[in-house]
Amino acid sequence: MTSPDVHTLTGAYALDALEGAERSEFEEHLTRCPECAREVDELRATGAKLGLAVAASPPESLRRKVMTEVAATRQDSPDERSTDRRSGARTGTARTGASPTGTARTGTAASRGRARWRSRLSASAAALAAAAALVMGVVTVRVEQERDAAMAQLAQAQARYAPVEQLAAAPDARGSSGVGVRGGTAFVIASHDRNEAVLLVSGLPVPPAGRTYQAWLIGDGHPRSVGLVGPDQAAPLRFRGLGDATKVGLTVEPDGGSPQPTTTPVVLFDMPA
Amino acid sequence: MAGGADMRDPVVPLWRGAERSTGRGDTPPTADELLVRVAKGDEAAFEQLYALISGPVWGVVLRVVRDPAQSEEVAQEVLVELWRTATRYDPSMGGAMTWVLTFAHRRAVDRVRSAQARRVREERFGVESVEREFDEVAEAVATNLEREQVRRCLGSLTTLQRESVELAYYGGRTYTEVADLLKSPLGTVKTRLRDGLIRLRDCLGVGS
Repeated sequence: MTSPDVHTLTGAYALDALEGAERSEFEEHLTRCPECAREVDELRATGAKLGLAVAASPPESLRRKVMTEVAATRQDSPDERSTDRRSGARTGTARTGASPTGTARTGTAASRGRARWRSRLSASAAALAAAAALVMGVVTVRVEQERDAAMAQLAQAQARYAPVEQLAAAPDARGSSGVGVRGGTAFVIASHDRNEAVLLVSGLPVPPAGRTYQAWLIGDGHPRSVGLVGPDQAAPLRFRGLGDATKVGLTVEPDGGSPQPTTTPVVLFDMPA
Repeated sequence: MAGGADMRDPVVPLWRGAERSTGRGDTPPTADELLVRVAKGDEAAFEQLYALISGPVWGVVLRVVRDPAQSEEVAQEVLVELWRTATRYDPSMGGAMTWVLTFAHRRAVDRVRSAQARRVREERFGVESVEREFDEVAEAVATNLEREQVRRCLGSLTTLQRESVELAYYGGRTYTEVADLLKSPLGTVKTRLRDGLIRLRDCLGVGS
């Protein structure tokens, strides 16, 4: 490849439109041309935006398959493999397209990686998620059966989920949920008899620095704060006094929270009936 | 209880001054933090990460591969590999979302370029079908805002730039194929891909 020409290949390369010898030659070139590598990085980030724009709901079966396989898959060693070690400022660039961090070396990984399994914890989380899914179903489906199933799942959850369990045990416990405008889920289990509810969230985008999520009960009057929550709340937020609230909302507020919401809710959904 | 909650009052008390643009919470979600936790073997973090990235990954793979069954295989491979290799994620390489979508696109392209898959795909969909169905996307997970922005920026390209970029990215075409499909010289397509992407980059504000 002639040198003036080669630089124009950044676009084709970033979009995976380069194949065969041309691709290998360009990758070789990238290791010697930090400028090209930087441009490739930027153009790839641009390509990712094109990808984000066509996001679509994957089939539920994908989730099951992935989680099942992940549970049985050991993670690689964090050590950089020798083949990745190249000269140049952005050595990883040429490889990032081929794999998140290169190709599999499970043997090496197994011998060197530190075991960091947290299956106990995540089993609880999974049980909770399953319970949550079931509790949400209560709204529309057979109430009693679903609640029993939810409770069976909940029995496996850790002690910190006890409030959820206790509340779900209330004869009039109901659940409802909402999906965040930028992903993530929030759900509420409420018992009007006990005048009490728990809120759980999962997978919300991490708020910008200095910001936090704040949960509100919304009725006829001003929204009432029920507390601050992280994007992935470790423990359910328990609150009493449901009042006339018909909606639950989450907004992004400055750290420490606000007396009243200052932004549009990122999650807004009906309180359980 | 029954009465109050069943009243689907259409007047949600949306508070004053609640403009989308004012909230810094509008910053697109970053999967970076989750990925760092995933690298420590945190399966719960992976589940959360899955919720964030599976939509974009699926969208990209399905767009390129088109066959849902094959797309599911590829997406599964990508997501499991993400788990396996998260230990080697280096935040300095760029955002986690870019990282995983770059990888997803590559894997999708690998799949359609393997000879057999290609034959099946072309029998089913026709080799000449130019993928320009930007509006076809069924269920969106990405925000309208982001989608709008991409659409607007794509609209700011010249026709040849836009078609080249779309055929390469969404169609998974090599630039040689793009040149064939658009009946344009190779050199021109090469340049248009780069020019088009650079213009998109600037329009979308993708900086280093």
